[in-house]
Amino acid sequence: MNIKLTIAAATAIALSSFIGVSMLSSKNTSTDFHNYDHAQAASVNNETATLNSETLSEVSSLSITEVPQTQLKELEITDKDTCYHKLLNSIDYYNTASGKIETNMLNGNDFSIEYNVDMNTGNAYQHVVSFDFDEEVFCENGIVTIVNNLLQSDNISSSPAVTKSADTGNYDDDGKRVDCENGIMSYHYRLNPTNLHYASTVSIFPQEMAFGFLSDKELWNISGKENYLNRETFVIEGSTSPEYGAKLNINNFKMNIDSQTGILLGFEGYDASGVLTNYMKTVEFSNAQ
Amino acid sequence: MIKLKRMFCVLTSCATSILLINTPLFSANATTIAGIVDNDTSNPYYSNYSNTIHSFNGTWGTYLSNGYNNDSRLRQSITKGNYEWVWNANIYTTSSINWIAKVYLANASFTDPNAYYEIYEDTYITMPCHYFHLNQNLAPNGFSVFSGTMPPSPNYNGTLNPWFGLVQNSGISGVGTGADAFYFQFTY
Repeated sequence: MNIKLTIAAATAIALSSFIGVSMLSSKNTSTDFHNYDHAQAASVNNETATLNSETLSEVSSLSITEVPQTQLKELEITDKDTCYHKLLNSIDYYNTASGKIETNMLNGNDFSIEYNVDMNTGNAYQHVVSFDFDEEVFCENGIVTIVNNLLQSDNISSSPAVTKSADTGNYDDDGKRVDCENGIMSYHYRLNPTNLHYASTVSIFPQEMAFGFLSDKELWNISGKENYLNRETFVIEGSTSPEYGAKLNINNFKMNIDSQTGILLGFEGYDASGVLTNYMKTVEFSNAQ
Repeated sequence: MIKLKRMFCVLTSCATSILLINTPLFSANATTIAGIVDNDTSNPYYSNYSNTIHSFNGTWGTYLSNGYNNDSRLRQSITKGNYEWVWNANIYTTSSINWIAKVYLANASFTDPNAYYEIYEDTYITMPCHYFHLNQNLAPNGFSVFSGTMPPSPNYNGTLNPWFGLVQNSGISGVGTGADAFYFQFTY
């Protein structure tokens, strides 16, 4: 199958990969909004070619990618603090994971998310499907390629991948990641080296959920352990803050957090009447490292 | 078949309320440039530029009279489009740049599970420097903060000039993508 991709995108991907910056090739048209050399830019921007797998490989080979092996951290969940830290920083506790997720937490409709990530090699894959959405993500050779399978053309965007080694921040102190100034809260996120946003945001690196549901440790408790897909998980049960809960229509919730990796394997959110309004369940999971 | 295309989509852009700080930091030679770019502060049709080097066609969603400085924008569309925050920091450096970006979100209608952000630089051609994703539905209200390092640029003239940020909606149906205040900080 031939796929159209702008030469501009290919050129920019290679260039941006070389200099280590990101690139998005949008399917949309542009406006003359910036004061750069348009004659020069036109030679980059204004041609489209047919891209087949051979060409894509050629583009990928232009990138310079270094993915150093990363040491995994070890942390045993013993209390709320370690449980919160492991969920918030799950990427420190695994390099490879694959699985399949079913959830309604993207827009209320039922979605399936298949994923496979190897942060040792930098390779990753994700397939997100619902009745009106079908998107695949391929991460290879330092480039993330997103394909919208429901569009016949203009359906690809690309950007350089994020690696673990690119983030040199210190995230040992969870207290420094949430602060309040002039009454406005700030939440400090890490860049995502899985390069798989949908799988991350509900399961394998759920920073938003960790901040939203667990940063106030008065609202939840560890209620025990459960076997989940033959994995040991810690069970968290809690209630939401009024503002957060109202937005999500969740009054109370249950989480299953994988003991070894900190990955969120299951989530159930219930409204004030006890009706299940939000769910995420992992139906297949493996983790080799 | 060859057809003409252009790379960068900007359905709308605006830049108001810029506060620039030029403060030595970390060493005698280090400089920090920081500011908040907010939208629609003075004009509901967001034509109040503090930076004149841009234009827009069409609109990016609808104007909301709430949020940071009591204004924000909401896009509800399965068609992807970019909203842009422009600053005029006048940074031109051959050094690496430590960057911090804070996006302000506090609205129950901001529910996009995959809002895509980029920071662009422009020394000779516009080029994204860094990007990040945010689930606007699950992120708690307030500033969502991201940070990283831009390596020294081997660009045409060898300098980095971080110039504007943008957000692109996911294209998922039934969700709303928000655009409100954008805080930037560059140390080099």
